[in-house]
Amino acid sequence: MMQNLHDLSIRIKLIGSLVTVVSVVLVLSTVAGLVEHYQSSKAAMVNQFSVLADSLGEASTTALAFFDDETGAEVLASARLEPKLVFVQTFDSAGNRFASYKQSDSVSDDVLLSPGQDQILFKGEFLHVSKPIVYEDEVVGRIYLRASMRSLYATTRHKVYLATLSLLICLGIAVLLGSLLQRAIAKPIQQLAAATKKVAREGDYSARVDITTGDELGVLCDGFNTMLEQIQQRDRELEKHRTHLEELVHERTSRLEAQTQELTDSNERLERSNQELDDFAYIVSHDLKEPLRGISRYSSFLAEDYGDQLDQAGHEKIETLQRLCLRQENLIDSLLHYSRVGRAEFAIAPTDLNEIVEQVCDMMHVTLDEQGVDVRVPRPLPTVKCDSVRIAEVYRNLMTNAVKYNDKPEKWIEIGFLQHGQENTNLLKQDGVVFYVRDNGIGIREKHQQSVFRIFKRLHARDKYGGGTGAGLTFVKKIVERHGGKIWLESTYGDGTTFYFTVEPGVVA
Amino acid sequence: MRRILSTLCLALCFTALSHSSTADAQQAVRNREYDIKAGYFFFFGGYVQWPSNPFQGAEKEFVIGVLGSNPFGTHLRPGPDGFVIDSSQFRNSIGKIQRKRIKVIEYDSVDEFEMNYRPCHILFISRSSAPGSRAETVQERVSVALQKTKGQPVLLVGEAVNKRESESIAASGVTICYWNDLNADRLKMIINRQAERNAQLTIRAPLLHLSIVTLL
Repeated sequence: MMQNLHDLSIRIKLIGSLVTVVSVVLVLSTVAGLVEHYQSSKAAMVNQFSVLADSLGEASTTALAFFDDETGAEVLASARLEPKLVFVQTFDSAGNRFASYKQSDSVSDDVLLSPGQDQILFKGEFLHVSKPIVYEDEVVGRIYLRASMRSLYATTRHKVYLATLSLLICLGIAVLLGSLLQRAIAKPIQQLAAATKKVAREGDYSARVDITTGDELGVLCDGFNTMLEQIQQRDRELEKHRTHLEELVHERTSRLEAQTQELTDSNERLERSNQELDDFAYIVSHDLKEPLRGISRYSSFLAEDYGDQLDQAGHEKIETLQRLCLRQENLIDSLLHYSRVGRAEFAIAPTDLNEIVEQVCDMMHVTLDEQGVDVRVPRPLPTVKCDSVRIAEVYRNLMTNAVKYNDKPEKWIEIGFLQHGQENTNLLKQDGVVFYVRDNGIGIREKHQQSVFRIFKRLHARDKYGGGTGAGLTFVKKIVERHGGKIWLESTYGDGTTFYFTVEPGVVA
Repeated sequence: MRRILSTLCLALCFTALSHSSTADAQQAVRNREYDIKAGYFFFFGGYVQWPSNPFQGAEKEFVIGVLGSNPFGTHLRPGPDGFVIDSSQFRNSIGKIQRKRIKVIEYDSVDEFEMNYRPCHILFISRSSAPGSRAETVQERVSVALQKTKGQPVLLVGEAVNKRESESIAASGVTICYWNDLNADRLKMIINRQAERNAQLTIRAPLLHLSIVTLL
C-alpha cells in the first residue's frame, strides 16, 4: 500500500495533498463551527428558558399566593407565544400541581425534575427547567417547563447539511484548483522525468526539456539541458578521437605489417643466403681439399722420389710446403666443421651436464695431467635440454682454450653455473641459468674481447700457445646460438678469463 | 308505640351523627380557612401600599388589629419576637411583614375597640363575637371600625359567609371582604376601590386582577 502511494505520479500526489489539507482544514473548522454553534445555541436556549421560567414564575406569584389557579393558568397561557415551549407546570408551596400549560393535548404532563434549587436538564428532545418561585424571600411555589429542542436539532441538521454541501463544493474547487496549480509544478517534473526516461532507456542524449520558468524547477531543467549538451559534446569529441585513433591504429598496423613483411622477406633472404653460404662453404672446402691432397701427396712423392737430388734448402721448402698443406687442410676441415654445425639437425634431449664435463675431462685427461690442471666443479651441474654432443664440444673447446692459454705454474679451471637471484651479479637475465667456464690464464685484453669469436681469428703468433686454426670459439658461438643462447666473456688481462653462456631450452632439473 | 320509639331512636342517632360530622367538617373548613387568611396577612403586606409613616411606630412594627373573636388560633400566635404566622402556605413560620415585627392587638368587643383603639396597618373584623362577651353583629363591628378609622390609612379586612353579605359589608366601606365560594371551594374576596382610595392605600395590580377578586 505504502509502496503504491510512493509510486503514484507527482500530479496525483500534489492534488492529493492539496485536497487532503483543504478537507482536513474544512472538516476541522466546520466541525468546530458546528460544535460551537450547537453549544452556544444550547447555552442560549438554557438562558432563554431560564429567564422565561423566572418571568412566568414571577407572574404566577400572586396567583399562587392567593390560590387563584384560574389566574395562574391564564398567566401560563402566555407561554403559547413561545412555540418551543411544550409544557409548563406550577406547583404550590406544598408541592401540589397548581396550574399548567400544554402546547397541545398530546403533550405528556410528566414532570422530570424534583423540587429544589434551579435545575436544568437536557434529556431526550427536550430542555427541562425547574425553578422555585420566591416572594419576598419566601418560597411560594415552583415552576417546571419543558422546551422542545426540535428546532435546535433541525437547525443543526440543516447546518450540517449546508456544511457538508459546502465541504463538497470546496473539495471540488480544491481538486479543480489543485489540478490547475499542479501543472505549474508537476508538468516540468513530468517533462523532466519523460526526458530522463528517454535518455536512460534509449540513450538518446538529444532529448531536451522546454521549461523557461525562473524557479528551482527552471534551474533544474536548465541544468539537465546543459548536462545533456555537455554529454553530447563529449560524445562528439569522443567519436572524433575514436575515428582518429582508428585511423592511427590502421596506419600503424599497416606500417607494422609492411615492416614485418619486409623483415620476413629479409629473413628468408638471409636464411637462403646463409644456406647458400653454408652450401658454398661445404662445396668449396670439399672441393678445395681434393687438390690440396694432391699437392700434399705430390710434395711427399717429391721428397721420397727426389729427396737425394734436393739440397738442404730444397728439403726445407718441401717441408714448409707440406706444413702449409696440412695447415690448409686443417683450415678447410674447420670450415667444413663450421658449416656442418650450421647445417646439421640438433638432437635436443635432457642431458646431465655433469656427465658431459666428465666425458670431456676423460678425453682431455692426458693434457690435463701433463699440465697439472685442477678442474673444479663447485656444485653439481643441472640437467639441461640440449644436444649432448654439441654441448660437449662447447665445454671441450672452452677447456682446451683454458689449458692452452695459461702461463701460470698452478693452473685451474672452474666449471659452474649461476642462477637468478643466487649470485650478486648483473649478468643474469630475469630467469634461467648462466653456465660459465673460468680459468686463471693469461686473460684477454679488452680491445680483443669482441673479436675472439671471429673465425680464424688468432690473437697470438701462429706457433705460440700450441697453434690452432682459431675456429674453436667460432664453433662454440655457433653451437650456443643454435641452442638459442648467448655467449660472452669477462676477462682481466693477466689474471684469467670467464666465458659465460646460456642455453635457451632451459634447465630440466 | 314501639314503632314510634324505634323511629325516634333512629332519628336521634341520625341527627346526632349528622350533627357531629357537620361540626367536624365545619371545623376542618374553618381551620383551613384561617390558615389561609393568616397567610394572606403576609401577602397584603406586600401587595398593598401604605402611605409613608401612617402612624407612630409603623416603621418598626406591622400592626394587625383583630376586632371580635380571634379565629386564627395557632396560625397567628405570639413568638419570641412579636407574633408569627404559621401557615401551610409557607414552609417556615413568618415572623416579619414588610421586614417588620408583627404585632397583633385583639379587641374582644366593640366597646373595648372604641376605648382602646390604637392605629394599625390592618384591622381584621371577625365574623363572630368573642366568647364570653356580649354578642354583637358583624354590622355593629363594621360600623364602629369604619367610624373609628375614618380618614386613617388602615386596611379594613372583613369576612362574610356568602357573597351577598360580603358585598354589603364591602359596600359599607370595608376595603377587602372575604367570602367562601363553596361551589368552587375557593376563598374569594371583594375589594372596594373607593374605600381603598379613602384610606390612602394602593393595592397593586396583580392582586386586583386575580379571578378570585371582585372589584366594587
